[in-house]
Amino acid sequence: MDATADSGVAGGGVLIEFADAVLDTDGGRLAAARAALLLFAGDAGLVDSAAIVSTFNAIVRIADATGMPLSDAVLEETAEFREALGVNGFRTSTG
Amino acid sequence: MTALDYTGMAIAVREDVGGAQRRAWLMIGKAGTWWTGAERVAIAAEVRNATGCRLCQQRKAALSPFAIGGVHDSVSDLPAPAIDAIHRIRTDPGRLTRGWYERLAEQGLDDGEYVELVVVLALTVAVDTFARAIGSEPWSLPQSVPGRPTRVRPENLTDEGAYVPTIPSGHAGPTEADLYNPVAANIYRAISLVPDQARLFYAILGAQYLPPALVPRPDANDGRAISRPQMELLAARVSALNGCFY
Repeated sequence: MDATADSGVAGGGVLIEFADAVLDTDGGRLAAARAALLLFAGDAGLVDSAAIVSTFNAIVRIADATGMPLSDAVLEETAEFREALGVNGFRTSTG
Repeated sequence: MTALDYTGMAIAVREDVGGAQRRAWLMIGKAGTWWTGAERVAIAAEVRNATGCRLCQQRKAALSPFAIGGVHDSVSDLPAPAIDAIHRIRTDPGRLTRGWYERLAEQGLDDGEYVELVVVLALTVAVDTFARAIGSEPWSLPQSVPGRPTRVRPENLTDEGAYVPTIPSGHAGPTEADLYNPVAANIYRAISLVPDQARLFYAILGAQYLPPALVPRPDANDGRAISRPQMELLAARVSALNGCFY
């Protein structure tokens, strides 16, 4: 994944590097990413960013471990951009 | 760190975040619905241990994780299918399959045991990842408390297409109604087989992300220091890094 791509979100690069560093094993990289995020968003921004990263690092495991499918309503709401992204062409894991 | 708080940190952690984590952490040490407190603490210990497991590292690097046999580096006496579940969900969640889950069931891992294991794992990952993210030492594992699992299985469980049975929106009984109100998002329903454990995770989710009622509102950030688009960017990045099929 290209972490330098512009997400269009303010501070997107700093946030993405922080997420990447938290999930990486390199302590030095995380310290630098944390310092950059502190400069950008302050103490509260660091805490709230850490809260989101840690929450979704757990949520993805619930979703993947339970195999919960998307609801019909969500499938309907996302039909256009799933088609645009080519997501519908992905094969579902069944092995 | 032994104290279950962040008071020694140079930055202030919101009390609702620390409080939700502390309550969940202490509950890991108590008997749940299908596992004893000692077993639940063992699950949390195994979650931490999995990231250093040599078999998991070999599988992670393989084209298919199912092509590599072997024995996990384990620190517990949990049943073998439980250890495999913990290690794979912790280290390679994006490549789990229905066939793999069904093989765990054939080896004797009950669906209720499995869902509770997933929730304890998720709680452990959430608390440990937060500590790492803010630069804190991980909390000591909770002390286990004697007690017997309730083994209460909710009514109205249905096959909604997940690996495990779930309670559909609109079908929650009186003991689960608070979780639905009256509908529940997919991630909530996914663990509805063990409602008491689901409540623990919902509490963390509400404090660290958003209360359920605010999630569908794209402008809502519940007063966080980062905007909703910034929150969702972080969420999407973490999901992508984990190869989440969702």
